[in-house]
Amino acid sequence: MAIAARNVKASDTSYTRLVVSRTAAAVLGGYFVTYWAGAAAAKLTIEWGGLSPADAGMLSGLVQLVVYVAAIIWVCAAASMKKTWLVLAVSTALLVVIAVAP
Amino acid sequence: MEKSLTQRMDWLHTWFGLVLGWLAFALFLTGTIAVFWFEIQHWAQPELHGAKMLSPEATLQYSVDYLQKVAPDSRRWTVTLPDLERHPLLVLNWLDENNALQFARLVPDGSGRKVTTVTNGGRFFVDFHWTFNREVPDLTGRKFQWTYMLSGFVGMAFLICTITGLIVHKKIFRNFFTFRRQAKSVQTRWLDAHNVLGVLSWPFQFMIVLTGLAFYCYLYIPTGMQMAARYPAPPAPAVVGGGGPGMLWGRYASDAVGRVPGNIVAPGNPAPNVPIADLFAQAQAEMGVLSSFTVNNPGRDNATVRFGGTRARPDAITFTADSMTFDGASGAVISPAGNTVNAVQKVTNVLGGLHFAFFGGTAMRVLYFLCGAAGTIMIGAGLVMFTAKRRAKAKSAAARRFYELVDRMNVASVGGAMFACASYLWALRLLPQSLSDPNGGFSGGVYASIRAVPLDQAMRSDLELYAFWAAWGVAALHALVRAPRKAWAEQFAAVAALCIGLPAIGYLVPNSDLGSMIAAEDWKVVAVDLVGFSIGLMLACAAWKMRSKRVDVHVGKAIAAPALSPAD
Repeated sequence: MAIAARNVKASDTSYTRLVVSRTAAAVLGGYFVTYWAGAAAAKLTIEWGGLSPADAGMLSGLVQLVVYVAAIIWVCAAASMKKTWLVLAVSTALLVVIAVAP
Repeated sequence: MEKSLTQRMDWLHTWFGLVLGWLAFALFLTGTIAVFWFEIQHWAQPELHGAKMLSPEATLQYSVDYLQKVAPDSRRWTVTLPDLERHPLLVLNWLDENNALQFARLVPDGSGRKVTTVTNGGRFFVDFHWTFNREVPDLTGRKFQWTYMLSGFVGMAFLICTITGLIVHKKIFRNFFTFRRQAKSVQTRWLDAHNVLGVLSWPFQFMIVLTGLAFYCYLYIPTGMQMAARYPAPPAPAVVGGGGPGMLWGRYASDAVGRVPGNIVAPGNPAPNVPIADLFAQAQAEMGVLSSFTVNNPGRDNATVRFGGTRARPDAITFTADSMTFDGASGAVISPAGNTVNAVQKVTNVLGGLHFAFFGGTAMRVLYFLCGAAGTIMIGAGLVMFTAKRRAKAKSAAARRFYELVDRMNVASVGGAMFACASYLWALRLLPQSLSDPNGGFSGGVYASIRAVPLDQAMRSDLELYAFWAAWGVAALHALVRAPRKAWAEQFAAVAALCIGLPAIGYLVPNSDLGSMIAAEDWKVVAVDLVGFSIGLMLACAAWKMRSKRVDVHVGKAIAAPALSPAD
């Protein structure tokens, strides 16, 4: 009986941790990816796409909208949170490099 | 965490829907009402009711005569012509001898009567549904403002809920035709109502929230704009006619009394000018209906006349940014008509046009209103379903208390938002005209932003907003102290009474009663009154059903919260 109660408690704790992790990954992790995706998109469309800065700024806003929505849904759909955090971190790093590279 | 993809999407749908649904309901409700914001603006200004409007040509001539009389030596005149169909207000701006902006807001019937009621009117609903009435000081996104960030996040959550809602509904066509009104389980009925409304209006909801977010997405995460601003090319001008968000903002500003203009050219020598009416006819032939014109240095040899086409036409989804400029002395065309916006601006203009529903006439706006209402009810049904589904199954006292709190929050959100909107409409009607801002609300009351001022210094436009928030506060308190089931019925009854009373209070203020409006054929005022009245009747039926014994017996067992024991 005591073991079962302990198991239930442990399972509750891990469930809470999982929910917090998933929510943080979706909302905050997704935000970071989106934040740098906008900067990278603006830079790429100006330098490679030949758009004017004003157009690139507006277009990057649209890109960010799609990226954020897709990130939140993908994070919540993913089976493994470890892989999810890893992908978020790697993609953010990649986008930071694109955005800040001279 | 849930194991299957569908379960995980259901989890996301449920919790995003619940946590942000309370705010989403208010945003969707006000957004739906905002479809008719011009009409409500008209309804809220008794001076305009029933006035017989001049033709566009006669209005133009009247405006020019007026300005020649009051400001013959001005360096700039700007006239916003009345929208005869939706909001017939004539706004004249001119620069005085010190280049300070002066203005007159007139009834466009040639009488010279001024419109002195300064009101947030229907504009309030537009601003509330994306800023919660906090002014956005900088539309370039350089200054952070938490209110539009919050509304943006709610919009994002709603967009995600529309997508996840589609994923969790495997049997979407079956759901479309399923409404088990006689189902014994209250949860089943709320689920069916939520599903039917959601499936029916899904395309609209996806479109409206996507276009709304897309239009100001650069404000929410401005890194793209900030990166773009590092490059040397000049940014697109954020002015009327410039396309994109700046054009939209220009429309808002020009609807009121205009903004202090820049680029004032030094006056030339006195010289005869080509009659503006002739240029107006040329511009009208090129661009169709015109919405404004600006004359720089009238009566001088360097006079220019710029005509602006309507930013939104009934026959085009996209916002248009057409304008035409003439040399005022010779009548030669300086800048011909023709849209010069590029692909990105076109996309933004189409998104804006889709969201703001200026196209398609009244029939399209009615369709938007109905779809918006369906979405609003869907959110409300989803919120109620959350508690109906879980409360009966709650095992612990803590869980029961949680669902009780959620139910009270539902009442405060759904009933409270409706009560606040109805109270606001009463405030528009009943607040004395004499409290209006004597400066015409140029700096304070035009943009429906709330500001903290003592009551004795508050102007009409402030008091309107106070009425809205105070009503919501009262409704929230009521929801906290009353049993949820009683609170639902009482708040619905109160909203119903306020809506049903809308035509009646028209008799308490001059030139607004239903009989006179029908006689004067002012169908905008009549429509607002009667639509309010009809919604009131529907809400009264809903309130009656909530209170009636039959529903209590039928549903009560399923939805009533289990009684807490003293030990709990």
